[in-house]
Formats: sequence, C-alpha cells, structure tokens
Amino acid sequence: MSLDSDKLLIEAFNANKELGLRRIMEKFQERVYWQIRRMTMNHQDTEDIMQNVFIKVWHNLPKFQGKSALYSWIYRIAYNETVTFLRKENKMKKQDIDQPLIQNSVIIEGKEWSGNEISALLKNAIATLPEKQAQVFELKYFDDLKYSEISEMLGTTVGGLKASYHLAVKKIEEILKAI
Amino acid sequence: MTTKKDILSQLKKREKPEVPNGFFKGFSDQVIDELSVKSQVLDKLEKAEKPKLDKTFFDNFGDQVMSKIGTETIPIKNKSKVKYLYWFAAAAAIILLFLAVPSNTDGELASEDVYALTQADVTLLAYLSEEDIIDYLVDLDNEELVEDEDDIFFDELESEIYNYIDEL
Repeated sequence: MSLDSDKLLIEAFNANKELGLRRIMEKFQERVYWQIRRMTMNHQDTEDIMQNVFIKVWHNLPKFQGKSALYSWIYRIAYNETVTFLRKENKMKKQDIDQPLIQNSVIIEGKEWSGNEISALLKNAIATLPEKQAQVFELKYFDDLKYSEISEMLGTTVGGLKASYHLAVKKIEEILKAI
Repeated sequence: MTTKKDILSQLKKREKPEVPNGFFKGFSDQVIDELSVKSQVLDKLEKAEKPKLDKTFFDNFGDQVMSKIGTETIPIKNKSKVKYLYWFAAAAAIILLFLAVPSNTDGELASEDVYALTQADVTLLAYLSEEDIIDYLVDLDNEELVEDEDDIFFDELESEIYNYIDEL
C-alpha cells in the first residue's frame, strides 16, 4: 500500500534528509516530470520547475501530516509551482515547444478540431477537475498506468480509482461537447 | 467390481501445463484495465508520443537538486517582514503602556489620555522604525508642540487654493 511505502520514505527522510529526498525523487520524479511537462510543453522549464518542487519538498516535508498520499501532496506542489511559473512567463514564448498532446483532428458534435485545439481544450478541461480526479486522469490517460499502480501511488482502492476516472472522463466529455 | 473411487485412484493425473510467469499476478489488473471507461470523445483521440528525453536526465536530477539545496540561501520572506512589524507594534504598545502608567495616577482623565494614545497610534507605529517611534514618543511627551515648517507651507497653500476657488 502507498501509505506504508510513504511512511517508509518519510522515515528515511527523517533519519537522513539527503538520502530520504533522493529516494523520494527516485520514486516520483518521472511522474512529476511528465505532469509538469504536459503543462509547460518544454524541457527546460520543466527541469527548473521540478527542481523547485523537490526543494519545496525538502523544506516542507517535516510539516507533511500524511493526510493524503505523498504523491498527491507532491502533485499539488508541482501543479501550483507550474501554474505560478506559467503565469509569470505567460507572454514569453519558448523556442522548443513540444508537439501537441493529441496528434489527430477530431469531430465533436459536428465541429472539427485540430490536434492543437483539442489538446488545449483537453488541458483546460483537466484544469477544471477536482484534484483527485485530475491526478487519476493524468496517470491513467496520459501515463497509461494500471489501476493497481495508481492505487499504490495514491493509496486509493482500485474501485475508488475507477470511479474517479469514470467521473473525470464524463466531465471532460461534457466540457468538450459543450464547446 | 471396482468402484468409481477405485478407478479414479488408479488414474495418474498429468501435471498442469505451464503458465507464463506472472500470469495470475497480472491477470486481475489486465481485466480491470480492459474494462476501461468508454468515452465517445476521448476514444477518438490519438495521443502523441512523449517527447524524447535524455536517458541520463533522471539519473543526474537528484544530484542537481541536492547541489541546489546545498548552495541555497534561504531568502527572507515577506512573512518575516510582517513578523518584524508585529514586533514593532508590540514594542510600541509596551512603551506606550509604560508612559501611560505614571499619568494613570491622576484618575479618570489620565485613563482617557491613555486610550486616546493607543487607539490612534499603534497601527501607525507598527510601520515605523524603532528610531521613528522614539522620536514620535518624545514629541508626544513634549508639551510645547512646534509647528513644522512644512505644515505651515501646506496650510498656506490650502488657504490659497480656497481663495482661488472662491474667486472662480
């Protein structure tokens, strides 16, 4: 279970901060990286933000109360850090922009949307989801993780995850159809 | 006559055929994932491949963060500045109390003086430096208030403006 492994990670951190943080980074860095990169669409910003995220983890982990899974907590830090960064950098367009998340065009309710457009709509739709649903959706839809893997990360039952994912998909669909 | 039980006991069962390693471990996951949520919209979308990433990036990332933490100097946050203001406000309140206590022996009138002092000035004092607070308190203590030259200037300017308006 996630909460057990979270406990071990936190214990490791309390025993030796550097080694503990390294273990936390090893476990979560890849997930956090792609979560951020889907928002920034470039590597350099993602790297900068991710460094800040784990520096914040270093400073704030002693205050972490364990009310949520460690990944959920880091996810929230990463999300806030990225949103703050993007607000600051809003007008500065970077050279190396990734390809859109969706590569094909699609017709929704009779209207055709390009890959670029639907990617932007999808990102906006995800931003409206409650945090838990957004987390589950990102891990399931974009990272293609199995429910059991997500369950291990978030400390939620597979049934609960399916419910969250189902709700997320329904909401996203409603939003996309309404546009 | 041999019973059914005897027949069965004579049969030699074959060993179960081999199953790929980890089949049962991953089976439930596979089924649950197969029963994925269907979506009319999302199912039509083709996700782009993730961008290529330097293979060593994650190997070196931990070192980068640790070196940044090592060299990091913790900036003074705004919160700390607010804390300082609280300290000044507290200090000002204490000083005012000390100044007020002796005059309190004069009875009710003195108490009213104390009230007037604290209510009007504590908020303002919170934003002043310690030296300013001392100067301010010294001024308060001084019975002969000298009118500031600037005040005289602004008073004159104000009356000139009113005169100008009247003329209009």
